[in-house]
Amino acid sequence: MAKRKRQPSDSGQGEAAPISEDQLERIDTLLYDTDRLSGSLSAAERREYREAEESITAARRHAERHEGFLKLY
Amino acid sequence: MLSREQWLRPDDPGWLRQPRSERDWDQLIADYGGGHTEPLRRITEVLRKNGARTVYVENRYIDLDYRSEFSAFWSKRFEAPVPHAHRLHFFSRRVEEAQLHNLPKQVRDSYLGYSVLRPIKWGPVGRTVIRPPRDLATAVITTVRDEVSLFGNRLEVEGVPFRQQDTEYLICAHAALWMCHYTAYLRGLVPRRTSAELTQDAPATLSRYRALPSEGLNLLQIQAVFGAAGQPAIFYGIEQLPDVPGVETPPPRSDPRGGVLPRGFWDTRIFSIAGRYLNSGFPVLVAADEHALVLVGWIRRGRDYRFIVCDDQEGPYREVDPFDHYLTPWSALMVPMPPRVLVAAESAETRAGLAIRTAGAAKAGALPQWQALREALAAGRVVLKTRLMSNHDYKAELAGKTRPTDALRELRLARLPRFVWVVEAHDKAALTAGRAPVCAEVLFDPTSEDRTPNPVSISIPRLTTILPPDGGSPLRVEGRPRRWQTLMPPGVLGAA
Repeated sequence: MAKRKRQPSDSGQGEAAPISEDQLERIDTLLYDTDRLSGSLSAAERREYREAEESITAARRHAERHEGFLKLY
Repeated sequence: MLSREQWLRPDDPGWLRQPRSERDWDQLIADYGGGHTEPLRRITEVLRKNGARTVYVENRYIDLDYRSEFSAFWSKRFEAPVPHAHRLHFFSRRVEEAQLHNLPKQVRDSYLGYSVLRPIKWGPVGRTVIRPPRDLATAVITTVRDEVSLFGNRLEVEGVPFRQQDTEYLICAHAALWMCHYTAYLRGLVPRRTSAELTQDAPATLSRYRALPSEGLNLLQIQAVFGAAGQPAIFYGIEQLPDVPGVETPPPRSDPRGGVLPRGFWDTRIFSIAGRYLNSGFPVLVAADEHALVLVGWIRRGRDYRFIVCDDQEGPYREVDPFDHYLTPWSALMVPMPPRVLVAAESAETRAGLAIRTAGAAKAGALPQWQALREALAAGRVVLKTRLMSNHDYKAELAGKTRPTDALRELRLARLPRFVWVVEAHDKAALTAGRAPVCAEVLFDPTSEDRTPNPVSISIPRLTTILPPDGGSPLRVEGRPRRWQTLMPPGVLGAA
């Protein structure tokens, strides 16, 4: 069960409506498992992030192939 | 270079020099600069920019690093050099001989740093920490605080460690390794290893040539030394830098015959890749042609960025355009990091972007403020900034950043790992207007998986959610959608 705190002292003039429980649970899920919600992104966004993750993997593999015997003096 | 007799002077604890003219400074360089004077010349240039007026030469200084090198190498010579050093202390105020046993506060406050000079012709400049020059006041620099005692007077300097190679026992790679190591030591991240221990940490079997006289270190040996010193390095080949959403991947540049130039001539992503670590206080070792140098900061000049470099052959705090440098194209970056930091900076930043945009995905009925943030991030009106912080520094620096009170309290009470990756979303319009720029923040556990790092907290407009360890229940704090001040170093503000 999530703990919830509202902050009247910071809500200032005109209190905003509370965030719905559905939305709060969605953010909880985002923390537990970001990928589970990524279906809500557009196809272009999903592709952008998939390609970024692939490029990180490619950079790590390239590092392994880099000339390790390059001598610095 | 001083003669052996001038170096020894057994009856003197030290002596003052009050350089006033160009000639006085040139004399200092002639006395101590050895066969390659450029590093010491640059040190005096920085000191003069900071208003240096007094040099105190501390005689017969026993320097741990020089002694270690002397024992391991120089003492084996038939004609061995003097085994102790002179430590030069620099002040922006005039210091009188009669004050030395009890320096007044204004003199101590005017301390600009120190440099250990050794009687080694091709490598006189040893451990040196001096303040950055005033013209780098707006730069992000990986400075550390060092304390020294001069005749019982406690002196403090904040600067970047620097030293020179000697061309025989220590070469550029050793000097660069040492600069990264001594920074980590002064930050309390690793125990101190002497320069000779670092040298001996390089496995000789990884090179075809014998270890001494040194013909240099290869990248595998450098990685081995970083590992032995407790800071294994993240490695980036410049020919394949990772993409991060929101960071422009520039188009390739060609030579006059139409051939694509190596990325070291044009790939501007090097600034963001290195910048995230520099923002975090970690220097970055560069393999530049066949030379090693150390990035210790960056600065924005107009629309361009420059690195701040410590190059053992050129001296400290050099402002460098990596695409127009005497060693362009650079080929690799190595970032020594605490071993428990398994998540790289770009992984945290990519994942933070994904989380913020997912939170604002409209088809899931997100709050209007979250949708707006998502759109602004996609359009580049909001940019991400990333810094690794210790749990302690993060919590300490949170105060005064105009976070809502309850969010501040819960974030401070949160059980966080020893380090956290802090990714902030900066509103560029707010920055331009001089207002608090941070509209979202995601914290990551750096001990989690590099490919899918675990967030431990997310703050988006109106909501901060913290995920406790051990399956605890998420803690949510709701508040007004207001922005807060950044935890990034001051030089980051205004950078695209």
